[in-house]
Amino acid sequence: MTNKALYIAVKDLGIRARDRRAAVVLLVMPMVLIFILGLVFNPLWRGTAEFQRIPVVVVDQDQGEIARLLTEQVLSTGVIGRMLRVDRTGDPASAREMVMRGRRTAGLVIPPGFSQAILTGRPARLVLFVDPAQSIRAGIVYSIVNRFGAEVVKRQVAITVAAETLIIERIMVPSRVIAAIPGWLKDVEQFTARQPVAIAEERGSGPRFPSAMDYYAVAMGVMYLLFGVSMASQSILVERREGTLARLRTTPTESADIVGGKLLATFLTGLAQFCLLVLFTRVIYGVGWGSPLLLLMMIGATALAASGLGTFLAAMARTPEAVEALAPAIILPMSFLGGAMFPIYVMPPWLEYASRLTFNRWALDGFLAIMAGATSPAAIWQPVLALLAISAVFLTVGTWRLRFR
Amino acid sequence: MSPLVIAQDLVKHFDGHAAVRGVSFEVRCGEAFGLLGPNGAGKTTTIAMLACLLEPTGGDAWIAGASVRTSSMAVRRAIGVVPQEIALYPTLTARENLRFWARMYEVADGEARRRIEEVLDIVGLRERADERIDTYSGGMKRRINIAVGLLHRPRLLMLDEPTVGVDPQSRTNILETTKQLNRDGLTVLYTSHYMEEVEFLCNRIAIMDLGQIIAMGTHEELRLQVGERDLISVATHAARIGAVLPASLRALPGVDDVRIRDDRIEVLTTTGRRLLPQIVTQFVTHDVPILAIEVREPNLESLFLHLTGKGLRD
Repeated sequence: MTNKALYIAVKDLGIRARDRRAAVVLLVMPMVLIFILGLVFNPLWRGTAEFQRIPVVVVDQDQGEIARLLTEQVLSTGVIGRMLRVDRTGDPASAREMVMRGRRTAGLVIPPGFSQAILTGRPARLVLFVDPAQSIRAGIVYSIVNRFGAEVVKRQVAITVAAETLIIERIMVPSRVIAAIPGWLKDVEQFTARQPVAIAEERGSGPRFPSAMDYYAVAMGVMYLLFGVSMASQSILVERREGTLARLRTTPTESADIVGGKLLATFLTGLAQFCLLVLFTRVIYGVGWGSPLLLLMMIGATALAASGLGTFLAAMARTPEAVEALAPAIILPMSFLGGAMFPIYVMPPWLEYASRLTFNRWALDGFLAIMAGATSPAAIWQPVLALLAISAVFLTVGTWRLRFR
Repeated sequence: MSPLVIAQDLVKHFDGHAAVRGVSFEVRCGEAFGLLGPNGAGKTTTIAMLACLLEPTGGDAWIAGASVRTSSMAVRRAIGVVPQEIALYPTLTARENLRFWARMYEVADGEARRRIEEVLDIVGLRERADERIDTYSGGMKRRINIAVGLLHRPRLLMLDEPTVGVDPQSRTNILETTKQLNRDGLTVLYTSHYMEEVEFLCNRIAIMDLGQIIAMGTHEELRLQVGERDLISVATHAARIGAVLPASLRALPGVDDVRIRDDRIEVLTTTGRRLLPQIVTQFVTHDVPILAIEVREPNLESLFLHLTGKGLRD
């Protein structure tokens, strides 16, 4: 790299810094999109989107204490309450109809006398209708109801054994035993609540799953980086059209310096653009980008690979207008496939595999790993290597074509 | 004077089409040499080969002793090129443009600062040097375009149609500036399809058409090449002409022919304006009134017409 390449790069950066249109497109647009997408898709990320909740219809013909416990406590509060969307109807036939027509995932019928049967130790029965077309979501509802049944049976067995023992041993008369059962149930509840058998649960520190805002900060940042470098790489074509490239070639300047300067300017543009985006999203949206050192490595590798793609585009096109037309046609499909709009993990396996062919996928993998708490370069070596390979291939082909045109 | 530029049988083909076909000429140190011809004559292609922008298909050229084929870097250091386009960065100021180009021409920083002020003075734009180029008029842009070519004190300044699309005032300024640079000793190679510009600026002229030089020399030499004559037309009263005056005029040395057209007498001569006093004397002697005199000298336009059968701007 000679001084002349450096002068050309500095001149290009100076020109770009004065381009307000580019600043709007490359910094304001992604910030707006990150905000909109982050806001819209945040519930999807947290699993609290309304459309994600499982619709369940309940028919409570019992109206007893245990039925209320099931419908008002178990199904409507806590984690299960956030997972289900419960509504009621009075008629088992209409509940069945709703499920069979696919309007509800499951329908639960609590028959009359259900609570009384539980409380007196007699067999009790629940009816569950499920939509066969939604087997997984219906299976979740079945597991919840089944678990409730198991808990009830556990308490029923305990009470029955106690009552039988008291009556057989003539410690209490049957009428007093029946009167005492509700009190005993409460005692059982309190006992189990104290967790006599403690379960030592260890959760791995594991990866911190990024929020929607975090995810789209990376996704949009990478996509707009590609747009940024494609704009930057047009400068050599603009110079050709305006005659400054020809004039440069009448000066004692080697063509390697001209191409080198242009490349350096494109790379530095990408680097500056992404660094500014990191800064803005950190300050304005509170995006947690993770280890600064690893982040710098990833930004460097990503900007280099993007410069390669930009140079390749410029080398393939003959005019700046051709790059403007070509760039979205390549960048948008690649970005969507690479997870810029929808997260990679919701893609079917074949599409997820295909996404590995894109620049965006590798960049996303690296940045998300850093966001998830990676602190060692070993965690991002794969994406970094992939990006460096992409840059090597495209830079080689691109510069070769540019130098000989 | 030794030649600074030697072009020898330069040929350039584009996709089988010959744009330049065996062009040879020399430009001496301190000379202003013009390439005149209509659009598509091959002037810009010739300049592009001399500026090392295009590799000749055939032939070679030497500038300051360096071959454009084998020593392009030495050639580039010796030349300043003012292209037809305004090859500047519009969003940078004039001073920023000049600073950048000075670096490309390898002018050391301290020297560059001095030279930038000097060339701004030459083109008369020092006061507006810190304004962006895209705020300049077309003529001002052209002047900065010339200033760039002067930054490194080149031995040869090549200007390719530098007045295209500028207003008359800026055009005059550009021509005067170039003329002054040449007077100061700078060798100039100037291309144009404006006959008046080349006539005004250049000591020697090569006329190009269809990729070839069809005539070359000083003004006088070119005129002699085609034998064109000056025409002195004197308006008078037709009734006063008679037969004696025309005979007296025919007898003057250097007069080739005398024609009478209605109320005017036309004298054809190869000696031009020098004959004018003698012609006037004859009119006075024979008491024939002179109402108006017009001298029409053959110019490069008529020469081109004579050589090719078409006008320079066809």
